[in-house]
Amino acid sequence: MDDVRLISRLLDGDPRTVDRIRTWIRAASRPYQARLGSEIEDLEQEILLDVTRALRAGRFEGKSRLKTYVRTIVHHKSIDRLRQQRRRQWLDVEELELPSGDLSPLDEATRSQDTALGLHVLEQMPDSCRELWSMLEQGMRYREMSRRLGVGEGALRARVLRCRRRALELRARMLESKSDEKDA
Amino acid sequence: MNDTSIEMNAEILTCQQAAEFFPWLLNGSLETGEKQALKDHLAACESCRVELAESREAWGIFTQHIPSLALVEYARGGEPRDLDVATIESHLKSCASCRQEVEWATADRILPFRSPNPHRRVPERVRTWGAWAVAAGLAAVLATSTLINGFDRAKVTDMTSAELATPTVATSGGHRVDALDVVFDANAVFVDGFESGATTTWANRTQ
Repeated sequence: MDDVRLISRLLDGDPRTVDRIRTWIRAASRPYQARLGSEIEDLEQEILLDVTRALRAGRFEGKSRLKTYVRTIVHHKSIDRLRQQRRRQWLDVEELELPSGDLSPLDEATRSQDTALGLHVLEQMPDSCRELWSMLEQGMRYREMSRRLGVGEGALRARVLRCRRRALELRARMLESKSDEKDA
Repeated sequence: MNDTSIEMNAEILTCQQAAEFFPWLLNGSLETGEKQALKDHLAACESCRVELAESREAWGIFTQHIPSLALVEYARGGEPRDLDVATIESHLKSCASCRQEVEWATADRILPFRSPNPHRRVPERVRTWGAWAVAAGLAAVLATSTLINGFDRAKVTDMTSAELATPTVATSGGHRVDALDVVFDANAVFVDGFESGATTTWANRTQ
């Protein structure tokens, strides 16, 4: 059956077509099932709704097969959910709520520019800094980090601070050169 | 209580001690008492609030990952809209969790010869070794077939010279077929009773 007919049947709520899409979703979400545990069923349902909404809104451009499109949504949603789970473990501070809700096109553009900039900054940071901050991300204390790295706690604190300054300075420089490029 | 041995009292929490807690405030691993002491300190200390804001910014940089949609598009061979491939690949080199996610995103692609990522370049050394491996395999097949042929030829030499002098002739429907008409067709193994792909043209060579 071609995708156009499939979409029209899905939007009409044809149970066999819904089952078929569900099967695709389940197959694509297999790598995440063990990691997401009991959340997977909710997520699969959410993905089905998202797919239906996207198709109803005409967001499927037909550049790929419908099956490929559905799989892309499954992976995107599942990875997002796994990342959220990880964040939940280390961001439970009231003041640090994650951005949520729908973003405006301008917000989205700004965010994607920030992401690209952040990745460029990160790329230029020394491995030692990344390693230190990755340990902090995991919630390690200075004592544990000190034992692992064989460096004194005082020296570690100084390094963390140095890495922080370096990252912020680098980002500021990059932002500056970007705005210079724009002006030119 | 914890390994910091700092007494949880806002009055004695110095700026340096407060700054030490920032990463754990941000990663949510501060205990309730520590968190309260820090909050009290921050409420009264402008410079520490500035420092915390900087820590948050740095945190954002150091915990940056490829956005999931761009990652999936990349993994599935598409062109990510928001990020260029070079930036993604550079990040993947140092980010184990993103590499793992790329693996997951390609896990449902079952192809006989898996090539999920067109951006992936096979290193020159691997290509060379691959070519050598194929060549070695072919050489082994050739050597085996030569051995088998040699064995068959040894049997032929056991035939009498008279037998060898007489050309092999087959007849079919009154037509005489010369042994020279035997041709080899790789697609016609075991046809007409000839092994090794030999078959006959059954050309009309009537006398």
